[in-house]
Amino acid sequence: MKLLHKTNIINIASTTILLLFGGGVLYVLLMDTVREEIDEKLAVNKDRIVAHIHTSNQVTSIPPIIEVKQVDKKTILTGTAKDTFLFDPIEKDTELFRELTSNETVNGKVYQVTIRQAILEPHDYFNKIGAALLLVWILLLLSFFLINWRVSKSIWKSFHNNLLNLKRFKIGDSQPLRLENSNIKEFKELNETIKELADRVVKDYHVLKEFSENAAHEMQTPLSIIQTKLESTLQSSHITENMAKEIQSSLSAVHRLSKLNQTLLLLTKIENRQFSRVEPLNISKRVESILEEFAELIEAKNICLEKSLEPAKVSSDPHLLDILITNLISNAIKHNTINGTIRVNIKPGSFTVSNTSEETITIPENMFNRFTKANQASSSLGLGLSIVKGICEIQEWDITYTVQGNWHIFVINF
Amino acid sequence: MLQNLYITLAEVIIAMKILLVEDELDLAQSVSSYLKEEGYICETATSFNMAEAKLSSFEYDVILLDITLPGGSGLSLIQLIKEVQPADSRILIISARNSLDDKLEGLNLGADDYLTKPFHIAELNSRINAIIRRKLFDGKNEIRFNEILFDLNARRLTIAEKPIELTRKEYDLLLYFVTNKNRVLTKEGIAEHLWGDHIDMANNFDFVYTHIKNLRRKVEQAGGKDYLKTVYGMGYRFTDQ
Repeated sequence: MKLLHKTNIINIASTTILLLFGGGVLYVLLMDTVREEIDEKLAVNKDRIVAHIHTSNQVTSIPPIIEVKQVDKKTILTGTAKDTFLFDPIEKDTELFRELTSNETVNGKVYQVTIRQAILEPHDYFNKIGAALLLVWILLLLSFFLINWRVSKSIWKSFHNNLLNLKRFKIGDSQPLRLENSNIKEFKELNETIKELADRVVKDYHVLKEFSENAAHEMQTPLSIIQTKLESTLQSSHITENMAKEIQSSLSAVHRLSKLNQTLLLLTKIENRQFSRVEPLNISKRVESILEEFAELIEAKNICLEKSLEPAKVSSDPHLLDILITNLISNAIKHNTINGTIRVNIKPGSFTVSNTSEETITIPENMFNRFTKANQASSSLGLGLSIVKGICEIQEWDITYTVQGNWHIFVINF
Repeated sequence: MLQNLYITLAEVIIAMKILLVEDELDLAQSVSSYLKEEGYICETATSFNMAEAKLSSFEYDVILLDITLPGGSGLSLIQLIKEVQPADSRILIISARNSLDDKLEGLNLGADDYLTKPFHIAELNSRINAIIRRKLFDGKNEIRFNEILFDLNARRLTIAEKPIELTRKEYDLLLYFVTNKNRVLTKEGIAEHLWGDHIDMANNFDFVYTHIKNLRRKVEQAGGKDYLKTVYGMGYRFTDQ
């Protein structure tokens, strides 16, 4: 829920309650005042009629407003007013009247004087007050929306822009985080805090990146010493078969370690977008020549290669494109079966590599994760497809992996 | 007459003088002794200043250059080499930095090749060999090993004067063997030589085996001798001894 909607709802709810309460108070006060006023008038009128009887000795009745009748004895009447419904013969309707009845002794005779005044019924008050309040309520509502609309357009503008900037911000980017200034204290504080945080994160990230890069590079030199020394030892004619085997396994391990190191560095470089050359390339030509590189290997497994390569243009760093194609094709060969099939399809906008395989993939979503291997015991690094994924991400290409029976299908849309 | 030409070529290579600029003593020592065994004259410089001094005083045919050196960057030595060394001296950069930018910068400055650490020493030998051949032969460029003859410019192979059809990888593989003859070559080294360093190598040793099997068959069918010995537990050795 938007902050504005939230405050709106609170505002509307509290105004409604306040208006209802105000309406109630207004109703009670108004009724009270009107009654008091009428009661006073009735009392004054009663006095006038008593004075009139006193001087003229005549008894005049104008029902239902004034009724005077002579009574025998003076019963004590409180002389307080009350509400009563009566039929008004002129209006031909039952109306609400305020009625004051009192016994008066004039010239030794006792008269019962009843004075009435038609008044508004309570529900009339209620309706009128309600209507007025409803109008106010609607006006308030309208003004809320108008104000909010204006506010969100002007005051919140910088906030929304900054939110967009934050969403677009990537730590690895060379662009620093830019935030729009605001003259609102809260937003200003928020901006400053975010800016500080982002700067610190970027700095830490660079320090960490530099450290891991340097560490990886530093590792290469001792590795080359080990490798060179072991290879020199291998050349010696005095070593036994057993020694040779040990040296060979050490060499393999060194080799794997250095490959791992290099591949991780490559992944980092891809993620850091250190390949910035972009050229228009014909992907079909590249695929054709890389397939040629692998021709013997495809043949060795007696794999049937079905290719349909239409010319298709992509914009990419040529080196990256080669790495991507090489990794996909080598993956398709590596996990294939003897006498299997590889299908390579290029159409404008898409590049598909499918291969047969007997391996079962338990979690296809993990396919592109680092160190995911079909067989944990394999000496494969499990980084080939992570690299493919990384390249697709920085090129903003869409890559999907699906399994259909024993077919494993990689589709890249560019 | 042809035979005579190859003898001259061999002599020329033996006379090649190499300066190895490498600050890691252990590595420098191994590389230099390997190169000496291959018949090169190899001198070592272990710091920027030492390299500067040697480059200013002596002439070298090939300079193997580490980029990260105590006292300065190897890249700035390229400038010096271009100024004081003969125009046909060659530079091969050896660096722990496998970055395309460094590579391009080095090559732009005038280096002839770029090798990333850690490298297989046979690979280094192959690269040096290729550089020297490019330097020496503008026209005819051939390598002979007994009845096997490579025409490097045309990438053609003849066995006992008869042309033989090889795939590109098979040709590269045979050339790698001949360039590093009498040496034990590991499967890792071969795989890396054939496919470069950016693919996940897991099954590539099977790939190497497949290639070697095919190559053996083709050479034998063409009437060549099988010089390729499997060295148990280690790899392969190409030798006529």
